[in-house]
Amino acid sequence: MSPSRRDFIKGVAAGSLAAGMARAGANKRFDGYPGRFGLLHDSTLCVGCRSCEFACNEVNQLPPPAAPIADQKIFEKVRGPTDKGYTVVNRYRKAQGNKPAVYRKHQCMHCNEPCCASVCFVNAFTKTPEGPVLYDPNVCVGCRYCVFACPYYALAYEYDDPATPRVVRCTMCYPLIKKGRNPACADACPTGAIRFGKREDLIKVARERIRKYPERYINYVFGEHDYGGTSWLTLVGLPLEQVGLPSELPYEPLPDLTTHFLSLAPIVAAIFPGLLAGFYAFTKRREAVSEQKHRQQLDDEKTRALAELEQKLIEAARLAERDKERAVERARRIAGSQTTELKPTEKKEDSQ
Amino acid sequence: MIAPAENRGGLFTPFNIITGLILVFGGAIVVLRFAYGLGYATNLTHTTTWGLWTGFKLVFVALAASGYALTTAVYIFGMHEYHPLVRPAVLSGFMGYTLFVLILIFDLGRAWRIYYPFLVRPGVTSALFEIALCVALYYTTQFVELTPVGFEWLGWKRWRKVVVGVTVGLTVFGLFLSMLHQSTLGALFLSVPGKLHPLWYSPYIPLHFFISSAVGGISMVILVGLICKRVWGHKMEISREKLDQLTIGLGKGGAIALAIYFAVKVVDISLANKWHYLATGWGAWYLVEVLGFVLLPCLLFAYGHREKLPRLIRFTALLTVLGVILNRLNVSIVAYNWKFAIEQRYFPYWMEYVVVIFLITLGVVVFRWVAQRMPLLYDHPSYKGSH
Amino acid sequence: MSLVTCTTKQITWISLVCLLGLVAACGSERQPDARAAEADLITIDWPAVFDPAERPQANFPHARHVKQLKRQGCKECHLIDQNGKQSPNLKRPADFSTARAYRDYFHDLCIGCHQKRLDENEKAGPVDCGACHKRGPAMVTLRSEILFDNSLHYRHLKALDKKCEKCHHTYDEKLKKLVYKKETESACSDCHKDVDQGKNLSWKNAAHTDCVGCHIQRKDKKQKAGPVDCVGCHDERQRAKIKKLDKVPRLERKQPNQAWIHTKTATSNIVPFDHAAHETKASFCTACHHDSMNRCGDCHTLQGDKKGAGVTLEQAQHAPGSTMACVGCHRQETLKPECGGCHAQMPAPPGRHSCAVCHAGPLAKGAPKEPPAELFLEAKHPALPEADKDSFPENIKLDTGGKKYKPTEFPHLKIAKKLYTLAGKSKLAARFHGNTEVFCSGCHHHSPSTPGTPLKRPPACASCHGAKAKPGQDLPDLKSAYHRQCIGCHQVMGLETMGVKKPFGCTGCHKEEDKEVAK
Repeated sequence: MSPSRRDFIKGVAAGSLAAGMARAGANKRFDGYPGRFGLLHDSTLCVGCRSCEFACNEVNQLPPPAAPIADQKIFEKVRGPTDKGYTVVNRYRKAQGNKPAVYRKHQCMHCNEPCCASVCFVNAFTKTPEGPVLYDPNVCVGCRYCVFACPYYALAYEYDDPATPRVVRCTMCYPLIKKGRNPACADACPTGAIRFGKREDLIKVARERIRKYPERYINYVFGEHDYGGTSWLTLVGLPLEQVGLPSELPYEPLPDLTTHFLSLAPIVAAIFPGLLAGFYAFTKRREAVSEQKHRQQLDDEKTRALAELEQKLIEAARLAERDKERAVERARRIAGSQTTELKPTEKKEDSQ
Repeated sequence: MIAPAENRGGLFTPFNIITGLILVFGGAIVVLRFAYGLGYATNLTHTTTWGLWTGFKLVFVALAASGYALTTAVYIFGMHEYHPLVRPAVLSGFMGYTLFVLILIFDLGRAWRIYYPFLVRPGVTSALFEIALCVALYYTTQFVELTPVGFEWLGWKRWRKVVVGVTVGLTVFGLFLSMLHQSTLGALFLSVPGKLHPLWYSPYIPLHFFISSAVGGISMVILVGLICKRVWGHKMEISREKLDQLTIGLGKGGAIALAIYFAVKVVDISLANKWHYLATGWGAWYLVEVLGFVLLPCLLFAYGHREKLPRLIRFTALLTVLGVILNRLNVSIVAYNWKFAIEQRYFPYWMEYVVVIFLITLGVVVFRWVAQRMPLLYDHPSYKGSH
Repeated sequence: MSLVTCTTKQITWISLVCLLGLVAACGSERQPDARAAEADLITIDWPAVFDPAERPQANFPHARHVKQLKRQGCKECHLIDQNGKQSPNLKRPADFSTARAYRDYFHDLCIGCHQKRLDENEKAGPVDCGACHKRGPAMVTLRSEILFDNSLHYRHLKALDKKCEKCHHTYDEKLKKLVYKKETESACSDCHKDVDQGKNLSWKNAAHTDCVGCHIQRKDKKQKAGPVDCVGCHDERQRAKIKKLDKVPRLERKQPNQAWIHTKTATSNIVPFDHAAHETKASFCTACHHDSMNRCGDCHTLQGDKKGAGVTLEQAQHAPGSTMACVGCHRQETLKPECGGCHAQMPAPPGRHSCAVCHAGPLAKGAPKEPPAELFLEAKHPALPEADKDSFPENIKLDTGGKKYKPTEFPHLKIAKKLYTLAGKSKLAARFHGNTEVFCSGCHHHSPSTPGTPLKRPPACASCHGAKAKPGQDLPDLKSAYHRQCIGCHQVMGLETMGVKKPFGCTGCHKEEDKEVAK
């Protein structure tokens, strides 16, 4: 393969992979778009009325949830967001005497560094400056890597649609908040367990509530820093694992785990063709050297054989010469007895 | 040349009938899947969205590594004695990737948009994008590597000469593409540390996947060689004894690769201090996978190579292939969502199994079709010695 | 057959068998002990030293051994100390200097005894490792602590003819021995702490030696006595069988009836404290006198002292989270269902308006030695105002302007009267609800209707709670405020509401709007 063709392919591969690595080079912290919105869910104020589920379904043009508001049977199993309901309220502890039951609402957390956005290979997700993470069904190929990777199990897929299946999830009512209104669930919640506002304000409110009622909450605002932080902040009164939230999450955003590895790809693309060509050249060289050695050996054999042959010829010539002289001597002795000697000039004529 | 059908026992041989039934039935299920959607043909849920088909995506690619393994050995490292096995290895690799592409098409929600990452909107931060790009390029490379087989069959001498001339370049390209996408298939799981059991999750998953693909590739070459000899022995150019010799040599390679793999696994556990997990039920299953399907084959390969036992090496190759399949299925299905209660766990639907069997059968049938007609197992007489 | 000469076939079969063995191993986790861990189960382990432990802890079933060794009695294993009382210590001298010595001690003791009995053909415990060091999930003990409360104390007092010296003692540093000084009796835990400190036994050992030892002595003399086995005190069900007195006569230790709470350098009004009245509220003296019977100020100085673990006097009295502090204990009272409807939703006390209720005495300078009796007259709960259409309405219409539900009629007077009745039953409430406005501020919070600036009528909720929550502050919108106030109160008071008792859905409080209006 000529160098130009190889370079071309290398360039295409490396270039497209490196295009997304711009952030890796900068050495600055990005705290998220300033003034972005969030929601504070105080699960100790949630009374399990599920008005949020009804409002969410209505705004997203889904049929209302199958179980009516006063239905308690729905809480017997912990549910997750589905394609029939993008948000769910679960009960994590039954009422005991005068202690009320513990509920929590679950939905897409609209992370600051969304894992779904980073794993999508058609960039179908966008983190908007206002806060919500949006999904574009017009490019989605349906690989469901986003559903697979979400650490909060917040996404759902329309498995029953053969022609236009989409990934579905809470959208933070983006069209509504663009118009300056609240998301549907925040408006629907009667106790204000869901509060919409600027994320930095909501963190202040959450901290104030913890300070005012220390025995009511655990001293942690979930979503403030977890996996880089989320737009949905949650206050809970029980340890996180008991309300279905992952605990002790690292602060590092989840996409970083993959990005660190993927950044190696262009480097491999840069090094390996040369390296492997080097191995190939080395192999070829080794073969050539052994080939040459082999040939050299043959040559040496040939030379030695020729030299031997020449020696033999010289020896044979010498022997022949000796034999001839001996024969001449003998002939002379024989002829000497007959006293006739040949004239030297005749000998000379013979030798010419 | 191949004998006409009547001389081979007719079109309705037992093999043809069985594979034909499987293909028809499987094909029908595939049609139903596209007609009624994924929910109809699978048990996928919103919490477990990648199932048996994803597991087998990984399996097919891992076992298709026979292509890069052997071409690298022959063309880059100059081990020309393995040359007769190159074509079957590359073809089985090609079939592996074909099956991968097919099962991917079945698993995607909107498979007709499969070209979107390249032409519509690339998502370059995604591991899946890198896999798609590398696999697409590699698939092309493998196809080009196989064209000489077809050209010889068709008699297109000039085309064949052109392609053979770039063999080394294709091999280099193929190896580094393989390194990238085999390891990136492992990198798919980097983003789910909370969902994958700690024994299988590691920041070094990509390395594990790459090494085990090399291991799987070498073992597949051994098995493919065996099967080819058994079925088309008369057609195969090299003798039984020569094949045994090559098998023993491949066994050595397998032993080394498995030893590296085992060492990497031990270091991985040590680095993250995961020893205490080994004393649990999951740990026992992990030990079955690592001790029974990595360490044991390594020792058996080494022993078989030293004592020159080709039959043992073949058995071990089978064990290794099963181990690679086990590992891929463990990572993608078994150890994923390990904390879920049993009612929430995913178990594949019967249709999913049918589709997998359908695809494997398809691969075998196509391989057989090529092997019986084209100069795969022998040098075409017109081109003898010109490799 | 050596490995070198194995054939391929043999190796294949061996490897398959090994593989199967591995697969089987992962399924065969030992089943945990089916017996639940009773309160008598003692775990023999030493985590600090045996780290990592080679084997799991050994579990010693005490009750079983008592039953089996009934004939021999406790002295078979236990030491009898110099006072003739049974010690929790074991008979043989213990060498716990090293891990190995610890291990060997128990092995010799336990396995030695078991082996001896087996040799004598008697029923005995195990002699192999795994039967004591059982694998499986850690046992959860049912053992819980017993509280030696006023009722139990009085029963002991009566049984021992009021001879306090039978149990109470102090350690005289100079004489280097235990002495008894009348009217200095204090709680055991004042001196006996968590671990043995030389001769000063740990609380656990001291209690077992003295309490159980005494019980055993009395049982031997065929007198009525308390439990001698572990479960008698430490098992919840057994404890429930212990007789509890309803009315316990007052403990006589020459303690003050009423006293001042103050400290030398404090300058503001000092606090009159009704000690006698508070004695009936606590289950035992240590509820407040947690580390000694002295006055709070002796250890908790104004600035904090080492004696008081750095806790200042202010914190010792005002900490809302600690029941050893005045405010904290009062807070616990207010969180009961009768009071919690309002109080649970209030931020942690103390609130400013309640300072004067406690600090009702004169300035420290010139105060009499003992508080005068007038300060302890029983407070009367302030009366509710007369029902008035304008200032104290009977019903109020709560309307947020929402479209889904009709406005609801709030029975204001009925609720106020009910809460008034409940509060009137509590002396604490009567004293702290100094005037009506304080009582009303349970719902009418953060409003000018507080002592000092009473208004004829508190502002409407909607005056502060707007249509949207106040940004950056925990001030909810009107709808949330109504629901939080109402549902929050009902939840704590155990009334019917969402999430507690019989939830009846939203329409339990307000009817749904007619469909035409809702649109």
